[in-house]
Amino acid sequence: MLAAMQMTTDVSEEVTILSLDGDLNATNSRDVESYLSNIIDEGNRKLLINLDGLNYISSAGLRVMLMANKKLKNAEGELKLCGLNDTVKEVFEIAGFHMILNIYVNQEEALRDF
Amino acid sequence: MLIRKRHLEISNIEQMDLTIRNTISEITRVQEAFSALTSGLNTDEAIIRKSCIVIDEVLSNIISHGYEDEEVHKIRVRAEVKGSLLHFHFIDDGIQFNPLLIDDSSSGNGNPSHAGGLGIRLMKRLVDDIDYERRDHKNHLIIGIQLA
Repeated sequence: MLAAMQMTTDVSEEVTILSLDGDLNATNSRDVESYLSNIIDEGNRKLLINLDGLNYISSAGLRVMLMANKKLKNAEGELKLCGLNDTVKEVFEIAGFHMILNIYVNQEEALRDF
Repeated sequence: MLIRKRHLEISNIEQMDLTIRNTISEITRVQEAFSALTSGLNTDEAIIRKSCIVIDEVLSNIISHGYEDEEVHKIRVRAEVKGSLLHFHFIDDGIQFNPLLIDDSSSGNGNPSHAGGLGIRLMKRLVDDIDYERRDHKNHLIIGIQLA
């Protein structure tokens, strides 16, 4: 199951879609944070992070999501997440992040709500 | 200073014993060894994912907060399947740290300012059994995860 992180970006109308595939953990969270920061710094204000291919997320990865949410809020932007598997969903719930982040079942549903 | 590493030893398919250095990149070695351990056990994917999170949280906490010097330290990780229980034993010579004494209640409310205890909270909520002992100037963290 062990998988290196792969990040791909796509654009749908005004929304930038970042898809994460693999594991988001202490080993690669800084790389993902830097990649996400660059996307926001480039002026993208509507960001959807698709976690459909994510095996698991640890607290290091959760902090990356917090950073992106804060950065976008400060820039009057919007962050949405979709595609959480059961483990990722459980982690979000334990952390209480399901109460502060906009989470959708799938990409289509999230895109409709931007 | 180079520390001689004790490489993965798998005496049979149901246990691993690995010693790593105190750098974040070493966590991957443990997860690779754990992946090898579980590959032949027909283990539920969700259990493997939870275990990988626990490995990440425990080791990143030891490596990031456990040492007051810049020296190379060794961390030993053992994992073993005993019946229906996946059993982890983490041993480190860092500062005394008992996660069972940490109040993580405020880190589950989604408040970004309380995100500091998130790793401990995740680790404690994802496992079925946890025990801690300080012995011979070392932290011994013993964790159990039910396989079914």
